[in-house]
Amino acid sequence: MMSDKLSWMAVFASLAVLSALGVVFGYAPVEASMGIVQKIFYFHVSSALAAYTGFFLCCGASIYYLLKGDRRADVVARAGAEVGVLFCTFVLISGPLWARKAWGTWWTGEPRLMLTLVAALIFYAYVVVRSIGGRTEITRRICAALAILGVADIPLVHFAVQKWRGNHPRVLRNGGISPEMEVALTVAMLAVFSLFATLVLLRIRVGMAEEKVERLHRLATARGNDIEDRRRSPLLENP
Amino acid sequence: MKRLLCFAAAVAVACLVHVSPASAEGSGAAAPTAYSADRLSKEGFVPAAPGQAVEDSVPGGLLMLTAYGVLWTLVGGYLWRLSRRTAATQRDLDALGQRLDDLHARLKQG
Repeated sequence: MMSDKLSWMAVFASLAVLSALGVVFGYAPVEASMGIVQKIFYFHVSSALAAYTGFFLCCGASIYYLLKGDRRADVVARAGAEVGVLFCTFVLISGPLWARKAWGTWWTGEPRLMLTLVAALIFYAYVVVRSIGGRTEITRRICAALAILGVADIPLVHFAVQKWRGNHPRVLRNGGISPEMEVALTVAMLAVFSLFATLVLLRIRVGMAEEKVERLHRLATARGNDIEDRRRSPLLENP
Repeated sequence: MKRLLCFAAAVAVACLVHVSPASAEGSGAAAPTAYSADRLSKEGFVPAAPGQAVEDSVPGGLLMLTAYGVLWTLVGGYLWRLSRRTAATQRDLDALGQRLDDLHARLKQG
């Protein structure tokens, strides 16, 4: 049932992505001062929001795991972190590519860029620790703490532009995009978020299966030991 | 000779003034090619007029294609990684099934 729903979600996400590409390149106009490179904007902004959503999901599930010890919450946290890192990596690569054309430089010490990099590095650490730390309780707890730390950085990223200014333009709230660009951004958001949801659900499904297999392995080992003990015990009693 | 040097200096100064950025700013019909966060915050993204030539000293198209290529590479790579994990889990599950069969057989034996 889950698999069936996931298949439909994947089909919807694929169609949404194709539609978004069509609208971005076929319908939205080219920006006057930056040219075609501005078309990075639609997926760049959507991916940044998807990355933040993944990080918040990871943090919320981690808090739940720390409070209740529910392994399913830990699986959700890991899925949120991995998919969030994926979209954040795209933001950190596409941003400099856009900046090279728009600002004339790949990177600046602007607060928003640096704070986004800090959040990304914290969640990269999360993913690396999860990969090399194994399925131990201590690894899960350390990573839950890392997730909470990483999410604390995100409000700073959001308000960095308002507090400290910088090179990032504030066009969304000021009605600074044309109606065609707004349509393209909406469709791109829908596409990126449907892709995000599909990837997170897929990762949760894989994670749940891994947890189940591990539990069954433990059970089989315990039963095997039990049988061995029962077979040996008569021999020990009547040599 | 002195007059010639003065003339040459005047020509050099005139040339410098002519090519300086300040002179370029004051030349009137400036296309909105220079990036400015302040201007964009006020005016927003301005669609180019039909047929308007947009300056392209840095290859914007290539940068944009690279960005989109990176996105699909990342998504594809992640899906590939997930498929590998799924295959590994399936192998684990098969091994577990085999182990349970063995246990069952041993249980029947004794």
